[in-house]
Amino acid sequence: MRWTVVVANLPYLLEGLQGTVLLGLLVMALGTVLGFAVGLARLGRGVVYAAATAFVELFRDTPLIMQIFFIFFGLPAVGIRLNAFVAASVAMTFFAAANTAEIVRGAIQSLPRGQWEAARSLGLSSAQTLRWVILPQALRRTLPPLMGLFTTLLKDTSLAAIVNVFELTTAGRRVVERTLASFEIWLVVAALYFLLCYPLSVATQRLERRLVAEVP
Amino acid sequence: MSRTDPIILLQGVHKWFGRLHVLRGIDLEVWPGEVVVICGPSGSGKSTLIRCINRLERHDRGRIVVDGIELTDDLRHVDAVRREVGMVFQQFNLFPHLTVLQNITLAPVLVRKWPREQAERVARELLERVGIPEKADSYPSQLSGGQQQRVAIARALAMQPKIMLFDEPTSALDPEMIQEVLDVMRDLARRGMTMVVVTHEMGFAREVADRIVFMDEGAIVEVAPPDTFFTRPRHERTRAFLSKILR
Amino acid sequence: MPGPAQFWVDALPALLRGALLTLQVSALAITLAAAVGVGVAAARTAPLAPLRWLGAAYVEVFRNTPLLVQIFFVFFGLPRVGLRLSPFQSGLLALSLYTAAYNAEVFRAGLEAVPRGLREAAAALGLSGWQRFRHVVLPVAVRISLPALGNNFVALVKNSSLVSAIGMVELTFVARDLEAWTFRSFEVYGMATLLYLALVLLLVWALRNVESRALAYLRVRER
Repeated sequence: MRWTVVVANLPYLLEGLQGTVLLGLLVMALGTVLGFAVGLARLGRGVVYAAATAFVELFRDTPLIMQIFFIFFGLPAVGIRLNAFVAASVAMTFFAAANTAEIVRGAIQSLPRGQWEAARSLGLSSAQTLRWVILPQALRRTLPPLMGLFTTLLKDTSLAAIVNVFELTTAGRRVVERTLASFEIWLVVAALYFLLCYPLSVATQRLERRLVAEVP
Repeated sequence: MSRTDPIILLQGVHKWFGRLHVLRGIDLEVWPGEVVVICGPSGSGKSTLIRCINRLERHDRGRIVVDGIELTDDLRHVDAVRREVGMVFQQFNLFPHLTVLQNITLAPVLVRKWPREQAERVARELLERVGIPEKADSYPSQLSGGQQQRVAIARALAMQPKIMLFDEPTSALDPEMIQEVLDVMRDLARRGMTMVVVTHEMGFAREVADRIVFMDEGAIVEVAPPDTFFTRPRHERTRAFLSKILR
Repeated sequence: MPGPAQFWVDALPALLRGALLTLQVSALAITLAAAVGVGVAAARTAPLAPLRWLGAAYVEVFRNTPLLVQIFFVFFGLPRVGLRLSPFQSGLLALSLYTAAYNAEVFRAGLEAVPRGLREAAAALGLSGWQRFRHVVLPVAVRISLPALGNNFVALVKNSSLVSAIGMVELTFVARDLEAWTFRSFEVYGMATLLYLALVLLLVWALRNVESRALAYLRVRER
């Protein structure tokens, strides 16, 4: 085992880790904003509902790597030429948005119907009910799944390596190419992801338990 | 064990749930063929008491002897007791993945090692007795609450127990289905089964019980046959309880 | 350059074959993952503390590291310690071990979801611990777990796209290959994406059907 190789290349790998975290944060931020919009759109009717549903189904039911390939390799054929970083970010943002939309929908539906009924019978409009009664309660319930989504996104940034975007997996690949220490390097790369994601998973579980305990 | 020995004996039985003293020195004897009804406010420990009899709860102090077998941590004693004691639960607890017939034959085949044909024959007779022979191949979710509880009674009877325990058997039923279950229990009592019943159904108690046990805050307050229990209760707390539930 | 019709005549069968391969490897992987998942779930609920710790560690490690890195580790890393697996074997192994971690959690939740009353009724009837587990707890737990297991299967089908990165042949690999010599990236990737969509929607529909049939009688009456 050539662990000296690991130590020598650790700074480079950590740079990759930084790339992973930045990409993850960027995609999560954009994705949740878009996702909330799409999620609310799915509460509507007609064209808006149909479009939002199509969006969600498309980006949840297809592999992320395929989405990246389509945007990066396929779109240039119709004139949309994006660099690898932007293409991967766009695909992951849409993926995050579609999942956020589902989380929002789930949170809203998990509220008892009695909340809607009470608000409406008091005379509030749909929009007012949503704004003052439903969303404030639903928002709390989205927190654990959104944290879970963020953890998933951090792992999924590894797919960007397939189109050579610089993050931890890409860094790992390049080091392996140079040093051939595939066993040691991939183990360390996995360990770095673990150190990033495991605390998040634990925090998510704790948050979930606290929220469940509070809701009657 | 002679014929005049009690079939259930509780001596100085105590139980704690953490710091909560749930059973405070229970002394009780039940004779073969007796029907004993246990009543009292919620939290009085009545469910805990009968659940100790078949070791679903473990008593912390005192002795419990069932059919001559002392209940200890020895699993063989516990298994032996459970073979002779049948239990009917408030929530029925039928096995949802098995048909009614399979629910009833499961234990006789696995525990008493009966051949399947014998178990099924007995099962169908019991279904006849509780009044729903046509439901043998249905699943529990297809039955009403009253029917499910009658199946639960048949399931317990299939093991041919010497004692039947009932833990609030009608409390989870819609009012119109309570009588059909009580009818089965009445029939069982008439046939001489030893029964210990926790219930709020005072009409049933008055008709069928040999003795009524009133429990409050973990202790037995009063034990009397129905005629004296309802007309001349000796203790203030018994009177208070009766005035609240009888109108 | 061949005309559009000719392109589809050539491309579509290849992509469909790729889709079939995706399904096959997924079916294989889910079976292995179910078996390993049961083992890990059993370890997590075992009376021995070291086993419980091992089971928990397995789940946390495989769920908190990317599948792609796991695949690379198996295919590129293991040969250096003497275990050289083909792309097919590596892909299958990585997919199975990854999904097994998620299955283990599903089984554990399923076991915990078996109502206490059922265990008590079985005990009151005199059934031994093993008899209770085999005839009452396990069958009910499996049925409770089916929807979540179905979801894991659908996720597996999507995740199988990653094994293309080490040269294992399935739909994504076929798509990349096609794109390389036809240069019709838009059509090829577009069509492959739609095929995945169709696969997933079909699977979800089929699973919903099976679930409602198998679980219809399982609904415990709520009071």
